[in-house]
Amino acid sequence: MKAPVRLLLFCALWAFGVCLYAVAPGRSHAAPGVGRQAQILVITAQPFVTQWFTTLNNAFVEHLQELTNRSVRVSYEYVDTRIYADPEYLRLFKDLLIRKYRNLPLDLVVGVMPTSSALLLDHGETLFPAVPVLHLLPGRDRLAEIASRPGAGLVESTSDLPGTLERIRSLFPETRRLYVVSGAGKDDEVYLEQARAAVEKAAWPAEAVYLKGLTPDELLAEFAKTDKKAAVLMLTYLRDRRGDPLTTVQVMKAIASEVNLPIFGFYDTVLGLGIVGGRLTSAEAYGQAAAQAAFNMLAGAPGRGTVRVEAQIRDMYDWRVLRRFGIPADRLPEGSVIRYRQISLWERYKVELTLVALVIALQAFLITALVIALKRRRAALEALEAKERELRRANRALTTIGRCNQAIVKAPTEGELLREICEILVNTGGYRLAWVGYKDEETSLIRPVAAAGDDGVYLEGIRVTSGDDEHGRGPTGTAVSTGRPCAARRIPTDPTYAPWRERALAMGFASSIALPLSGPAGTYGALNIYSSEPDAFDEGEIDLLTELAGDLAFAVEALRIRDAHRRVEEELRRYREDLEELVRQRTREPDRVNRELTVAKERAEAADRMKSAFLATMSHELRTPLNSIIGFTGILLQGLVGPLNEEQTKQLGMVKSSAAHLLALISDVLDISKIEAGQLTLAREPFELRASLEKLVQTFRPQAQAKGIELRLDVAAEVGAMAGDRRRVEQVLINLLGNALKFTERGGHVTVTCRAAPDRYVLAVADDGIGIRDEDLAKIFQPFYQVETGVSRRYEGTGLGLTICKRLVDLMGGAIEVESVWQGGTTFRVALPKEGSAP
Amino acid sequence: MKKKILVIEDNEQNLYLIRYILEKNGYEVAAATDGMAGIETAAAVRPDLILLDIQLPVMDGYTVARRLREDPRTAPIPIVAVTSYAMAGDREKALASGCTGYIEKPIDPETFLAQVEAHLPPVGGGDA
Repeated sequence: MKAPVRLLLFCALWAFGVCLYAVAPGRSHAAPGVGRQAQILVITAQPFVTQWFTTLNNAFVEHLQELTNRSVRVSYEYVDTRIYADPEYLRLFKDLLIRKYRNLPLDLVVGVMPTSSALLLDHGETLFPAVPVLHLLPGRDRLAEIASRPGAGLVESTSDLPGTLERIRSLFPETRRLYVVSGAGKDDEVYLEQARAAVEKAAWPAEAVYLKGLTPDELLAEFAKTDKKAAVLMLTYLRDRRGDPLTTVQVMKAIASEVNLPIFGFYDTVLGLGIVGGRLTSAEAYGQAAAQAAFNMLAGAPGRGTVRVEAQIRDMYDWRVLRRFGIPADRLPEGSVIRYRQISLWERYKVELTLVALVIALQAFLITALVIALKRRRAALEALEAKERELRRANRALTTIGRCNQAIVKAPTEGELLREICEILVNTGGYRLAWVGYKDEETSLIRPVAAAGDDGVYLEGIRVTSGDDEHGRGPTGTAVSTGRPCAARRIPTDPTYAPWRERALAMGFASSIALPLSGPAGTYGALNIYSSEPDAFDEGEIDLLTELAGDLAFAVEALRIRDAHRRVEEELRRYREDLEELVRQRTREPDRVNRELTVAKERAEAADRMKSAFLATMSHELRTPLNSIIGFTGILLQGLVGPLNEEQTKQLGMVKSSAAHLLALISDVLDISKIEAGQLTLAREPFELRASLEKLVQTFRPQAQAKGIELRLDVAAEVGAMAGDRRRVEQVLINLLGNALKFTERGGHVTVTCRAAPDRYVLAVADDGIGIRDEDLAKIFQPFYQVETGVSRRYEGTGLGLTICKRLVDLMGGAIEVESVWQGGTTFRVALPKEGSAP
Repeated sequence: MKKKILVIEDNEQNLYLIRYILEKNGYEVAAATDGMAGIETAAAVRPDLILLDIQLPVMDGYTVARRLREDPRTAPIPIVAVTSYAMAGDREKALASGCTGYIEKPIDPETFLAQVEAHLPPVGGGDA
C-alpha cells in the first residue's frame, strides 16, 4: 500500500472513532416544564424520615414533575408519632399548620405513614378545607374510612410474603428453621400474621420462629442459639416490644455484620444493609405510584371515588450478599433487579472502553503502519542514496581511470606521467592525497617522486621504507616489499599506522591504500592514495586502482624503453652526423656522393631483380647441356651404342657422377635462392606418406647394399595420408637418407622410422655412423657448412642439403632436430603437420 | 607394327638423345622442333604418344598441349611433358593443360624408357 493511501485511511478511521466516542456517552436532557406551580404539602411522621421516606419522596416528586411537565412546589411537615398522646401538642401543631398554610392555596395534601394519615382523617377538614388528601401508607385500621371519604386518594402498600418465602425456599432449600422478625407496632403485627399464614400455607420450612419487637441485641442472642440451617425473614419495624420506635433500618444496621444467616426483607430500602433480597415492596415504585395518584388527583376533578394505586413489588437482591452465599445470578427469578453489583469500570463502560480501545488500537496500528512505511521509505531513500553515491563513486572512478589512461598514452616523460596521475587522482578522483614513491635499492627508503594534494606538508615530514622495521610495515612499505596492494582501512586504529598516525589524522586522512608498481625486475615503488573517508576503498575500487597501478607501471616501463631507444638513436644520430661531417670534410663534394649513392642503390635493386631471373635461366641453361652429358653417358654406359672396355666404362662412370653432382648443386643453389627470395611456393595436395617412404627407401636400397649398410624402414600402422608438397617432403628425406648412407661406414645401420601423432607425423632417420661433434651440431644447418669444414673432400655433397631441409621443413610448418654422438651415430627427426602448412 | 612416338623438342641434342633411345628400343619416332610443326605432325601422323618439351620457342608446351586436346584427331593421344621446370606447380600446370604424364629433365637413360612406356596405351589390335 502506498503511503498517501495509508494516511487517508488513517484520517478517516480517526474521525470515525472520535465521532463514536462523542456520541456514545451522550445524555439527553429534558427541558423543565414551565407553568403554574402545583402547591403540595407532604406531612410525614417522625421518626420515620428514613431512607425509606427519602427514596419514596424523591421518586414521588421527580415522577410527578415528569407527569405534570411543570415544576411542583412541595412543602414538608413532620408530625411526631406520639402526637395523640399529648393533646396540647396536637392543639399547638394544628394551630401551627393552620397559621402556616392559611394564606397558601394548596392543591394537594399528602399524608405519609399511619400517624399523618390519621391526623388528616381526623382534622383534615379543619386544617385544609376542600383540599384533596392523598394517603400514603395509612394505618390498616383506617383503610375503610379513607375509602369512604370523597376525593381522598390512597396508595396501598402491598406485599408478597408467600412470594418471598418461595424465594427463600428456592435459593436456600436446605433451610430447616425460619426466623420471622418484625416490630411490635400495630401495622408490624399485620405483616407478621401474613407471614405466619404464608408459612403455614406452604408448610415450609419445618420450623418457624416468630420474633416480635425484639431489639437488635435480643435478636442476635436468639440467632446465636440456632444449630440448624436457618434463614431470617425481616418484616417491618415501627416499635419494639416496649413500645419504643424502632425502624427496620436501625435493626438491620445493628445486626447485619453479626448475623451469618440469609436475611430476606420486606422493603427495598433495607436492600443494601445486609439482606439477600426477596419480593420487596419498593419505596421508589411506591413513590412513583404515589406521583401517579397525585397527578390523577390534580388533573381530574376530585369529586367522587378514591384514587387507588397499587405499588409494585419487585424481586430485588443484593449482589454482594448473593455472592457471599454463593448464589449465582442465574438462579434468581427472571426479571430480578440486582443491586450493588460491584461493576468494574470495564463493565460499566464496556462499550465506551471497547470503542476507545478500538480507536486507540486502530491509531496504534495506523501509527505503526505509518512508522513502518516511513522507515521503509527512509530505508529505500537511503538505499537509493547509497546507490547514487555508489554510482557517483563508480562514475568518478571511471572518469579517473579514463583520464589516467589518457595521461598514460600522452605523457611525454615518466616524471610528468607520475605527476599527472597523482593530480588526476586528487582532482578528479576526489582523493585527499596521491603520491608515487620509488624504492632506493641501497637504503630501502621510499622516496616520493611525484605527489598531488600535499604541497609538501605531509610527505616532507614522514619516513617510509620497505624494510623490516616500524617504518616499513605501513601500506606503502608492505606494498613495495610484497608486490601486492595494501590498505589501511581505518587510520585512527590501524596498528601498522603508528609512525604516521598523528600527522595523517592532522591532515584529515581516514584511510589509505598503496598499490605496487612493478617492472620486469620486480616491485620498485608504490602509488599511494589517501581518502578522508574511513574504509573508502572497497573491493571494486581496489581492483580498479590496482589495474590503474599496473597500467601506470607498464607505461613507466614503456617510457623507459622509449627513452633508452631515444638515447641510442641520439647517439647514432650524433655518430652519423660526425661521419657525414667527416665525409663532407673529406670529399667537400656532398652532391656527388649523393648521386653516387643513389646510383649504387638503383644498381643494387636492379641486381636483386636480376638475381631471380638469372637463377631461373641459369637453372635451365645449365641443365640443358647436362641433359646431353648425362643422357649420352647413360646411353654409352648402357651399351646401347656398342660394348665398352673396362677403362671406358670407368671413365664414363666418372663423367656421369660428376654431371650428377653438378646437377644437384645447380638444383640446390636454385632452391636456396628461391627460398631466400621468398619465391618458393609449396604445393598442398593429398598423398600417401607410407607409399612415399617405401618408394624412397626402395630407391636407396641398391646404394646401401653396395656399401654394405643395413637399411631398415619402420612405419607405424597409423601412418597414411597427409596433405602437402610430396616432392619437397621427399626431397627432405632424400637429403637425410643420402647423408645417413654417406656418413655411415660399411657394416653400419640406417633406420627410417615414421610415427603418427594426432596432428603430425614424426620421421626419424637414424644411423650409427661417424656422428657430429657437439660444437658442430649447432652449425650443421648453415649453408655450405660441410664445404667449409672441408669434409667434402671425403664425403661428396653440396653442403646445402641440410640448409634446404631446414628451410623446407620450416616452410611446411614442421620442425627438424638432430641429436648425435661423435663416433656414435646421428638421428634426424622431422615433424610434419598432417594437414601441411597453408600455401 | 611399330608404335609411333612424336617428340616435340627444340634442342637438337636432346631430340637426338630421345630419338636414339626410343628407336634403339623399337619405336618409330616422328619429330618436330617447334609447337606449330608439332601440332601439324601430330594431326597428320596420329602417333601413339607425344613427348612434349615445355620450353619451346614461339609457342610454349602448355599451349601446344591445349591445342592438341582441342583437335579431335589428336585429343585421345597421351601427351607426356618433358621439362626441366622442376618447380612446384609445373606438374599441375602441365596436367591442367592436357598432359597425361610428366618426365623431369635431365632424362636418365636407365629409367626413361620405363617412364615413357607407363603412359603408352595398352597393346591392342597391333602385331605386338
